[in-house]
Amino acid sequence: MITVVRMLARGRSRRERARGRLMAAGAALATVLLCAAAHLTAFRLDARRGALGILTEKEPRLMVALTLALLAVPAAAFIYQVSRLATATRERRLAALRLAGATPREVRLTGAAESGWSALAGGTLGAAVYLLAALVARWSLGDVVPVRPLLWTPVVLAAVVLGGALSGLRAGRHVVASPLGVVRRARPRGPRVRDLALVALGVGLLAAALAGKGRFLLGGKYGAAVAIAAGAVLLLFGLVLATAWLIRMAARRAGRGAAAPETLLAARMVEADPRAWARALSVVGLTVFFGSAVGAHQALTVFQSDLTAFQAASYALLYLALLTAMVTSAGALVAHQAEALLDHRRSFAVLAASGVPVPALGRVLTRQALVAALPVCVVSAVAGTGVVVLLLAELYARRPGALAVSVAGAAAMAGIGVLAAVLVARAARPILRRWVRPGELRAG
Amino acid sequence: MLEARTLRKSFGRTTALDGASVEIGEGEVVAVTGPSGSGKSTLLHCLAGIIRPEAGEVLFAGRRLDTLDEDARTRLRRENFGVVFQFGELVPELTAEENVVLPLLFGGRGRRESLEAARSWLERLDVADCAGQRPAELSGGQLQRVAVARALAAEPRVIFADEPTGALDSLAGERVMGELVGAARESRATLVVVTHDNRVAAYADREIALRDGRVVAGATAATGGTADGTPGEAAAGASAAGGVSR
Repeated sequence: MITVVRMLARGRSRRERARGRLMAAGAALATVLLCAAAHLTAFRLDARRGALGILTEKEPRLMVALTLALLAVPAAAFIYQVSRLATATRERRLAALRLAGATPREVRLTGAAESGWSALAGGTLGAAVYLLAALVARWSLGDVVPVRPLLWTPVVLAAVVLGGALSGLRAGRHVVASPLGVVRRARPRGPRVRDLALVALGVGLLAAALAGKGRFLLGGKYGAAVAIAAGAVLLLFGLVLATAWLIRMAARRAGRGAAAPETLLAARMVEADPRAWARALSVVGLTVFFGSAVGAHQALTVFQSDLTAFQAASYALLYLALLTAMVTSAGALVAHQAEALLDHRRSFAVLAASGVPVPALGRVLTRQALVAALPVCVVSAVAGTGVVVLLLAELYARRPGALAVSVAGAAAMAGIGVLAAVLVARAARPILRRWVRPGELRAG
Repeated sequence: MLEARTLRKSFGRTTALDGASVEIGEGEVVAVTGPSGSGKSTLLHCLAGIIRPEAGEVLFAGRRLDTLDEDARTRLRRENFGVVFQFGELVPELTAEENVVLPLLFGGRGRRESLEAARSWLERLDVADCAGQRPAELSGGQLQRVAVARALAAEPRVIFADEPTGALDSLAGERVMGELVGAARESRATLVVVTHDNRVAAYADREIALRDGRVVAGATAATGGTADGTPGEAAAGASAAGGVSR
């Protein structure tokens, strides 16, 4: 298997090599984040030091570790998105393997091994960078930075490689290669109304717990708190699951009423493949959700009293984490945009040949991003702010100004999410210009 | 209506057109024939203003086309030309009706007016029943007739068809060609069809034969020979094979 993967790696196209490098970059980032999270939990320091308390105090430090671990989620989403790049070439190659006598299982494993190999390369680089940084920190700070937890680095690396291999396995699950080399893409299921069940359950739990005013039917003393936490988690995961459904509904509405051809084309393209957009936008949605929630919490804190240095540092760190998440998810959006352009380049080339101006096709890209990102970001912002406002309703009732600021913050977060998607689409215009050329018409 | 003068065009080391010259009159139905790699599609793309030749001139209604910038050529194509490709090349995400509507909307027409025109063309080409279906749900023949409707809906002065029946069985191919030629004649549009199929070429008033990037027969309606009036060896061969003016 390793020999086959190495042989295939030598013959990879430029786009496939780019995919490998991007996967390696994502794996390196995930490894650094997870290593740092694991290492922070073992620090021996426990002392209040003002703004630095978030690192020197035990509990805030654990929160920082958790935040770092959570930041690996956008990195994982990036790897998953990137693993779908250049799928046409990959599918042709895997079909050729079947022709050469490989079983369907071997073909799938080869796909997984290719992704795992990229993840291993990136993960090793990330681990090396982290080990070096940790040793430098140990040298300058002394015993505060323990060395023993660094032995966990290989475990983190193994997890990252496994994640990369699994993403490769999942990326190829819709492909069926027959011994005749025919590639058939099994139809992925569309979004269903039942994807909304988790959202409904989460909202229901939250409403029931809040309506009981501190009491809940089940769970005794802590029943209400557990129900609120469970409701928030269900709502969060439900929103991710419901993203495809939401995008399809929004695209359908936009297409139905579209007067401009760019909007019609954009809406129909999004409607035809809402899952691809959902994959790319789910982390953007999560970032907007958390950003709005943090913003709402900060607004209330500011209206109650002046921020302490510790609080200011905590919020700054949270916003830095959110910025990192947004940048990483923008990377996933770039990968999605490149893949979508590859999928549609022939259609776009034909339209250009038929007299559609290339700038109009550029507007199609922007409107696709708008149609898909707007509902996701708005719903995420409303949900993130809503959860905090409902949980702290009594405090908000006493400070109506905080509510106004929270709503403004949510609008800003939604705007940032949409803007990220639109900017990625606009950045793709030069690629569109390069690909919309008559040469594409000869490919068939 | 359309004229190409000593066109040259290469792709890397491959010479696609090597001094090709043709003249096509208004309302004429012309077939461009030749073996694979002879430069048929490249000639069509040059005539349609999709690509620019490296040397030579392309004129449409007496106006140089090859010197126009990309925006001007795009406008010209949208307002005057319709294109039919081998595999229909409809946008897979749009319904048949929306595919026909799209160029009209891009041309600045209103949604209602565009929908009416699209429905009328789909009806005329006997694919009105497929209006709400997406390309993946259509047969090859239906797909190509929708593509013809898309090309004709904007009432172009010239229709370019690149191997329009290449992906169809003979029965479906004949039907598509019959409708394409019929609609072109009815609307007095010029039709340029690239094909290597003699049955398709038989629908044309004239056959322009290409070999190794050169026009070897049927360059002008008047001469039925090369642009400079000298038939040449290959032209004689093409005539013998059933080519040139009808």
